[in-house]
Amino acid sequence: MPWKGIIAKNFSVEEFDSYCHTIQWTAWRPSFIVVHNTAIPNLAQRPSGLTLQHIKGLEKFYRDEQKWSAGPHLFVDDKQIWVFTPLNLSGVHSPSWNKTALGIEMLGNYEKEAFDSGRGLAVRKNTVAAMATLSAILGIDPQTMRIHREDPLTTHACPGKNVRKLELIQEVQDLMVKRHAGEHPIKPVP
Amino acid sequence: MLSKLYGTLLLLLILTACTNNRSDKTDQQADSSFIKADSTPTVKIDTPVIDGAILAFARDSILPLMEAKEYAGLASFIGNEGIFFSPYGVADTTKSKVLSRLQFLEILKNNKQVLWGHADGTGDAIRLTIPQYFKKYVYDVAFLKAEETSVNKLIDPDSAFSKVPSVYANHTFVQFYFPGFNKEYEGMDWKSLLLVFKQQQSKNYLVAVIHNQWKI
Repeated sequence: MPWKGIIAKNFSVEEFDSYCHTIQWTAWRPSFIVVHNTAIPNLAQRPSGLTLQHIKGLEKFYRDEQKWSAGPHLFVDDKQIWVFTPLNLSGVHSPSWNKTALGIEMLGNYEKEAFDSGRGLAVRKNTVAAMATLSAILGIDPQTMRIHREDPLTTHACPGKNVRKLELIQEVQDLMVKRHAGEHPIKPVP
Repeated sequence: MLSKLYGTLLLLLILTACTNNRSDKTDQQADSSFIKADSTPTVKIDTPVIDGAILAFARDSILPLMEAKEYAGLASFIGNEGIFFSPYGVADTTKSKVLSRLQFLEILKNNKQVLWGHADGTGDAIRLTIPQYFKKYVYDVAFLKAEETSVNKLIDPDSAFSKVPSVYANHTFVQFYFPGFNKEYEGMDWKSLLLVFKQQQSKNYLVAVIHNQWKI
């Protein structure tokens, strides 16, 4: 299968939300989200986050070395959200779920690097924001989110022991409520 | 006269000893055995001497066969335990292939495609013949020239998660590792090959061939 190409654009959390509202999911529509960590490169290897050159390097690696037709959909670091594989095309990231799920790669090795402080925490917040956007636009229940190691065809412990699925789900739900609560303010009990 | 007789006897003894040594060496090569159990009965498996020897054995006896694609020769190193193959570093026999020596030879002879596991990322079935599998998931780079090697210790980036030390606790293993090839990829293109040996009756049998590389 030919390489599907990449978007190679980076966004802030707010810009990403606006960008996603411009996409039409007519050809392919994902049912849930799978979270990964890059492991290599880790946060220490990318002190300033991912650059366009890094994204192009990843494209070359997936396309020319791995001979894949696509990669994951997003790369999230502590500064931004990079769109890699077009969000309305299926990607390559989880053997069992490529045809049904979006793949989000978080920069870092969360087997070793902290996910609750410093740059790891910033990656976490950006990831939660991206997931909240995608869940809201696509009508995806955050509870359906999976982490890569849950894939029965996957052989390794991605995204690392420091990433706890239930905490992430709760944070996505909380952010969705926070973002959209204004539409239906809860009235105080008289 | 007596001294001449002693001299002849001594010469005969030396010649016999030399012949026996050669015979031992030939048998050793044929049997894939490297430990001289009779001559070094007190040497333990975890001594540096043996570590060096098992590394040399893997380098001199196993990897050249893989490089030369002499898979039938490799079968002579498969013992009763059979041989386990893993394309992505996992020591899980439910997810990868275990073959007996006879199965290995039969698959090789018939050039039959077998299911070895599933490809990382895509999930495609790895259904290949033995030569195809070795080319892609065993000796895909020149491990004979590996930049780093280790004995009974894992050195590739997945070493922290590996179950090899527990699954193969009573075995000896050797790892060959390249940290990467193309600088542009900054280590994503690392490769490793782990060979696990079991000693039986002073012979070394190859019980697992565990290849590993970056995975998404």
